[in-house]
Amino acid sequence: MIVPLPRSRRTSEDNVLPLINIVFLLLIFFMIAGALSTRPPFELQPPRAEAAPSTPAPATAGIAIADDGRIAFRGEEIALDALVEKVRQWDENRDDDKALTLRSDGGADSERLLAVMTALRDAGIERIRMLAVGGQDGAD
Amino acid sequence: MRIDVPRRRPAGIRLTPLIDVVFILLVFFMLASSFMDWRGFRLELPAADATPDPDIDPIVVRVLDDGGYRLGGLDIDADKLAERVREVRDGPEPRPVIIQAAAEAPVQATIRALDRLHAGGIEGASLAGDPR
Repeated sequence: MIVPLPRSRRTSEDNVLPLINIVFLLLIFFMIAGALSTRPPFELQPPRAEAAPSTPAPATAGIAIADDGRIAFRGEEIALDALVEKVRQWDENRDDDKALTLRSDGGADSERLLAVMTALRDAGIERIRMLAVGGQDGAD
Repeated sequence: MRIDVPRRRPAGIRLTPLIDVVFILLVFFMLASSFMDWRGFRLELPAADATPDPDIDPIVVRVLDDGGYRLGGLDIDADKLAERVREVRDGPEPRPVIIQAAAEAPVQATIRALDRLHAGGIEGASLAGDPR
């Protein structure tokens, strides 16, 4: 008796299925493990800290201070003089009470950091979250 | 009457456009994600018009321009900071701790002081500028 073999229905698309599986896994990994966050308009190297509690990545840009003293508020570069007014406006219009995040480059002068904190205080902000990254300092 | 039944639909959905979209999503998430291990210090900003209470005698840790630390006029190592502050603080009333950073001191040095104090169980230290 002759049984005809079933006709092969393999197409070229079947060959890419393992690839798609991997790509899907990668996609899900990056979606879950990574955190989307707004970046300040300049590069900054946050200071390192070991003991501070972990905190989720800053979702909003908050305030950033660059190595050379430039300041950005919510992703836009801004002068220190204009910061008070801008932060006050933002503070009045927001609908959550999350602490404003402050990122500073580890190499910036403390004077600049304190000037920004004074400006925030003048704008009516009572508490902030100063961000650092985990790890030994001096490691980089 | 004859009814034409469609012979065979191609099985399954076409994969190529799906893969295109998934690849684009993958590249987007790879580029936009950050994997930094963020740490946060809560800092209270005292009201501008707050007058210091004369009865409260804060412990002042000074951060020098070169990133060194000074407590009560003595140079001190960053790792001993929390220990020394605890010794000085030992008393009936909790004294506030102020980290007083010199103008040129790098932020890393100031944050390190905050971090070491935090590691030693001293929370709620506040930052201040150098009065001079």
